[in-house]
Amino acid sequence: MSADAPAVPLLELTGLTVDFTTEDGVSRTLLDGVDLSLAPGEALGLVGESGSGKSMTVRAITRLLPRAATASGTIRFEGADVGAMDAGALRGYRDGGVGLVFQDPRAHINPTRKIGAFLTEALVRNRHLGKKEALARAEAVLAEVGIDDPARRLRQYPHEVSGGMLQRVMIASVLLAEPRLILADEPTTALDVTIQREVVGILDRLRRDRGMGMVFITHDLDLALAVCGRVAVMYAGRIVELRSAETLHERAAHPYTLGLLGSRPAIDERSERLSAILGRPVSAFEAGPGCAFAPRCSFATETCETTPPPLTEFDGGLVRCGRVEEIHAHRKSEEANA
Amino acid sequence: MTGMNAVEVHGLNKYFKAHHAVADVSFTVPAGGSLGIVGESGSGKTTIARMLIGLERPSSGTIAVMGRDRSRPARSGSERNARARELQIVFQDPYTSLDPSQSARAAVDEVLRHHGGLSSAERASRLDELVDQVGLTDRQAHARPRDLSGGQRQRVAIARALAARPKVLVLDEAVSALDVSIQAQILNLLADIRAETGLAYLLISHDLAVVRQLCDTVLVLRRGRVVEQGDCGHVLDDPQEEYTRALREAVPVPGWTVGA
Repeated sequence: MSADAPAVPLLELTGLTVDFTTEDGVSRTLLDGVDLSLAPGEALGLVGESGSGKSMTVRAITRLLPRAATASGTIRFEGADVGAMDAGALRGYRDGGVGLVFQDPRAHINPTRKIGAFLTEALVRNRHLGKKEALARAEAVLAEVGIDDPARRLRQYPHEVSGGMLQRVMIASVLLAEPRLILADEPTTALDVTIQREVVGILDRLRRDRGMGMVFITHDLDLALAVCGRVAVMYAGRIVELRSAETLHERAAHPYTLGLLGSRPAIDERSERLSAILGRPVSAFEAGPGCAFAPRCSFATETCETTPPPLTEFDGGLVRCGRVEEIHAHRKSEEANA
Repeated sequence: MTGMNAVEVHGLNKYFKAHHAVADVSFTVPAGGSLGIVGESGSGKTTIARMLIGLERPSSGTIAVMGRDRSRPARSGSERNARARELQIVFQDPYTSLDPSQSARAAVDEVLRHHGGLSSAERASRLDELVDQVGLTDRQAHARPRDLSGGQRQRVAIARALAARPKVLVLDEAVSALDVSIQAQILNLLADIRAETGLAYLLISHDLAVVRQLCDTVLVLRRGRVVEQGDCGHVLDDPQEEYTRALREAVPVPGWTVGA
């Protein structure tokens, strides 16, 4: 970022918390005090397992939470308080400010309407374009996301194209609204690896060309590192580590991040044994009073179980671990002895 | 028995009307060996698994497991049972393959009863052994599937498959739907089980790193045809075919940058 970069972040989350009330009236915390800031044009990865709150973060940002869930804290988009937006402002924000790409495009597209109708609907309704002009624009954007013969695709139904093609159509539909922020929730998880590479390549190129910000949600840490400038690792509804993608492999300091890195088998060698993390991931409401990761952490002490650690600066990133310095020193001395 | 291949497949073909889903596929898995079948959607890998367990009938070609031909449907209940004792399968989503009303122990016990020959005391001790082998706690073993996590349910499915003391275990994307930290636990468990029992694995997967971790040999499949097969290390480190190379390079690894 140069010195004259705009001072107002594109997106700023402060103490974002989401509570869910069950049918029995029990309140359960799903997201617990998330602070995040995204500069215009920046790509940020949110990585975590089940219950980490990564998808809930996206739903809160778009105010698309389930009825039984309530958000607190603040969400600012280009300085405007999203929580305080009236219906008109919210519509403008969702139609042109943020664009959403989901994991399963088939669940988010009307199967009875042609791709052309799907892509032009918003242009005709919100931008008051003529049908012909809207179709021409849709065709141009399909070409931009690497779809051959876009005119023919516009006349096809969703079931007539592959999953990878349909995800490109979804990306095209987002681009037509010219958003400043893309929220991509596991956009390539359901795709074959070779198609995944094409789709993330397209997302990345378009984001750079158009200067859009992106929050990229994935369970795949290495994918996030390839697509994003910074990566936030989430556990039990909290951010536990945040660092630049470039340095994460080298400087990961939170025991959970280290565990995730050790859990994935490598493509270029077989490890004797994967350094699996014990137990299973938990949601925020299942976590104890202290560090949520403590029950699975081989470094945990009694203090960890009772005292929640804050997110603090460490080695160029942010880490939520009460013993981060000791653990770091211990690992360095082990490495030196090895 | 020594030197016998656990699985021998020769010239296997499957047509769905005009669609050639599996085209002239041959492979062997030695006793105690481990083969990964890798491919993307439409590669035919799941159709091969379905033919191995008898859910689909091959259009042509032969399948033998522990020397017993299973290219044609079993002609008797005892033949079907004999086949089941030789080869078992674990699917991707245990939630849909476990009975929601059955506890983990009951699900495993059902298989032990079916394959018979054990007194109730022997069955109880075999149950304890299986529950312990897959790393379930006593409390989890008495729980219903809905009260278990995805990883725990997959442990139940593995215990159930092991109950028949098979010689071959087919793992059809068995770790694909699991959280990364749980996937590592199950991969370690599967490696331990193979080391303890000498069971042969046939892993169907889209994930090259998982195949490398668990398998000795690999077969790369595309649109029903074998693209490349051989030792895991050789094929993945020095792919001879462009498609294998593309698959390999599409896996995000440290230093991988996006580029279509």
